[in-house]
Amino acid sequence: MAAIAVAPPLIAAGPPGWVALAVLGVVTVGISAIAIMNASNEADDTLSDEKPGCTQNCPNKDNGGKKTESKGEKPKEYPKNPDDLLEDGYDETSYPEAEKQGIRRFKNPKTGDEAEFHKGKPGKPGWEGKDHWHRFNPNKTGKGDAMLDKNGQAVGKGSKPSHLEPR
Amino acid sequence: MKLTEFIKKYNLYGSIFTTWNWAENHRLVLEVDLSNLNQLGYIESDPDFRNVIIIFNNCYIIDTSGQGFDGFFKGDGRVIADELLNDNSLKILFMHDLYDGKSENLVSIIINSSDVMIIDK
Repeated sequence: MAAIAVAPPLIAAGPPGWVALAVLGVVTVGISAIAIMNASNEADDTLSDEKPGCTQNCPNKDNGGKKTESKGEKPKEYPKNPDDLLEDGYDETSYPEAEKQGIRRFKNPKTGDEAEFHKGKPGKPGWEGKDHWHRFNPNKTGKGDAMLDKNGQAVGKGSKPSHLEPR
Repeated sequence: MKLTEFIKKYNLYGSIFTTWNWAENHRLVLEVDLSNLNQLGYIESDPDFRNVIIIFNNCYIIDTSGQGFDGFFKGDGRVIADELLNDNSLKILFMHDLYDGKSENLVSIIINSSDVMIIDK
């Protein structure tokens, strides 16, 4: 800015002024270049040249880049053999009379997860003829949200998504 | 219809008793969300449930779980098993849920009835 301001009188002063103006121009360019280099170095110290990082549902480098589900999003699966839940730390809370009908109930004392196994009865229609599980919603308010689907979403008691096929 | 015919035509498994009423002349009137998923002839496009009313005539019940159960005013009952014992006796196991923060309670009853009507809207 200073070089521009003094340019007219130096030009008017003839050859000595022109030389002075040239020197002033070279000095101004040099100072500007140094300022730009300093700013660049400062930016390298504080900002990374890498791409912005992932903060949610990020690919996991340790599992081959598959999408990582956060807790609660992983589809819940129960075993074909209900006894396997006992090995997973669940307590059995079955009613003996229901158990005679092939219906057993389990609760995990640590997580609070509660599920019921129904042994399929050969020849019976629908789900009564197939092994399946029901998972209970601990925050139920009525029949419309009494059970959970495989993704942990509240669903209606006895509704289609409330029937979980064993893994 | 007789209980034998009723049981052949309707499967109560997976259905929900939503109201329980004793009417005059020993009639038991149940409003039921009948589980279509467990009926013969269910097709994928059917809704999961349909509302029906079941009326057991000349009815009395025996509570085989010894809790003095004679009906409920709150909550609902999820049928987990049923078995025809004879022409006039139907055993039903259902889970009674009061939605009071506690787990469901098993109720085991035998329904004795001369005949049954169903209003299937």
